[in-house]
Amino acid sequence: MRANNGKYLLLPALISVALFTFYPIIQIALPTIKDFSTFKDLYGSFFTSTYNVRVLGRTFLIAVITTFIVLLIGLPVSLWIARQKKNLRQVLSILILFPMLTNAVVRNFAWIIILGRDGIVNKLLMAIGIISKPASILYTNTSIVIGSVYLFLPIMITSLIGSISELNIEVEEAAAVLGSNPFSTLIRVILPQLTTGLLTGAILVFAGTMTAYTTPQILGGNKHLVMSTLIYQQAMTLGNWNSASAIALILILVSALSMILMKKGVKLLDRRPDNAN
Amino acid sequence: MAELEVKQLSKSFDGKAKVLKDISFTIKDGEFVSILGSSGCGKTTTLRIIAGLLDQTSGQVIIDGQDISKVPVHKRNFGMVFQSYALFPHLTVFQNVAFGLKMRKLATNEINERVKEILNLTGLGELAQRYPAELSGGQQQRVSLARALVTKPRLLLMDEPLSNLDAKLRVKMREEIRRLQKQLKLTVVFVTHDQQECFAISDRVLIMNAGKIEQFDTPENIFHHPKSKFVANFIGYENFINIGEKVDERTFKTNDLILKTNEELRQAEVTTIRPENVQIVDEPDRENTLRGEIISSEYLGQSFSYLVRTVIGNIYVEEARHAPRSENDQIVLELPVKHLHVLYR
Repeated sequence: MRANNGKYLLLPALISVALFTFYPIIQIALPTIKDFSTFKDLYGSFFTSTYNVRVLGRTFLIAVITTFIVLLIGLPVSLWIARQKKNLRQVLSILILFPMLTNAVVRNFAWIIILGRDGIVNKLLMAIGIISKPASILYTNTSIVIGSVYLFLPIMITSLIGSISELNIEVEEAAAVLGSNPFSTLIRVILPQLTTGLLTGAILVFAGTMTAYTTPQILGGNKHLVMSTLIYQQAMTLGNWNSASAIALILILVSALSMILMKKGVKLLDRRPDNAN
Repeated sequence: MAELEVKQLSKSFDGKAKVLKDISFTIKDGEFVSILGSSGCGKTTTLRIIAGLLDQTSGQVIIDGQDISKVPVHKRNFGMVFQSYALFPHLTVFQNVAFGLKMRKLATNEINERVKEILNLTGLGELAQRYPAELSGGQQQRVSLARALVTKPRLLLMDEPLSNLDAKLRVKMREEIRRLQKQLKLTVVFVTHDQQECFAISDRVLIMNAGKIEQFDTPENIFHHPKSKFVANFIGYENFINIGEKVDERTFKTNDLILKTNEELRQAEVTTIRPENVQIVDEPDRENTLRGEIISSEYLGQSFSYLVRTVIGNIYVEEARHAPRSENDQIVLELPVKHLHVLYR
């Protein structure tokens, strides 16, 4: 068998991607661009409504902040886990993924209890005297960010543990012998080698948060809509299907554009020729 | 460069059995010393403790009379070359070599000058802007060496640096390392499991076994006067003859055979001789001769190797000849007096 016959094995995957991803997108897109006046009407009205633009901005901001926090927490945790002995590392990796075995709705309801007026967070903050009366954390942008961070942290950590365990530890030892202290080794030697892993994790988290529905629906309440909850409102509550389609397309475009920019940015930082990005 | 002293060094991992047992040795300024041993003998552990990458359980590492046992690795000012080369994959050759100088916060001008100088010395001038992934194994090894040397380390440590190269390149690289060592008057500790390599390159060789030093001497002395059975075995002595009964200080009797050696027997129990030093002779009645029968033969290229059955057990013999002797041949072996060495351990 010739080596390039293997490419036909890609067919089932290609067909299902075409059928289940691109076909629905085209189906959604077509009615919104069937003629210029419909197009202008749908997309124009989205961008002239300050409410809608604010929803888009909020969605984007929540995704950016979530990605940032997840990176900030995920990096040290995965560095620590990846450098443990094999047995402990496996146990910790499984524990990290454990929450994902529970239904997202159930996990978000748990946050309602934790973040509520009488929840443990408010009680704790009052006990140590930071606040005097219960703060409203629930049904704000903050609660959506908290829920999203919790939701996507395992994905980031798992992605990073993979990258970190591929690193040659002798490279770090070489840096140390050459006079680099542990912090400088982290900044100058470890992080630059992790760009691919960090990017993969960041894109997964960003895309996930941009398009998540359950978490903003449950933790955002009806005052803090994001794009996905806006789509639902347009389609299901108002029966405005074409408008929902247009918003969905805008969401797809903004997400895709952001991810392309992220990749380009990382490429600028990391100009290795063997870069797998 | 400097003198290194290791004092009563011991190491055990997680409270388990000791992998290093109280070893002490001194390496002189400008000396090239190899640590030789099979895997698991503690040679790499010793090197890593000297480097500061590993903490010792007890004992001291002293450099120029100063105890550095507690000094962290990044403040020791050593150079190290790793088996995997351990180059920074995200940096160019130039940046790799400059790394140590940057850590020392030297001025950019000086960094550029010194990096260029060492790249030329190691024949890497053309490759300065390449990334490690674009280099061959030999080139990567050279970068790794240049990176270690550019900081003018007090001590250069090398952990099996040549074992990932092919045989030809290995010989070339070791000559180059030796040349640089002499030119720059470096003190080097070189860890290897390759006997030939370390004999070719070193001023002195430290042979380790099971966490202890077996022998620390010049390659010539080790080759001609191995101290212990382990060392003899490790460097290619294959025949071991028990000292049955002592006749006088330099003569012994084993299985009714009288054998003489130039070395004092003292309390020793075993003597040894290299296969190529055993002679096949015609007269049976000379000193140190015995009869035997060839059991098997093997072609080695320049010589033939025979396994010969004798009254004192099987003896390996190597003989340079064009055609092999046939199996079952009855022959007479001479164990020349000057080649029969006494093993004291």
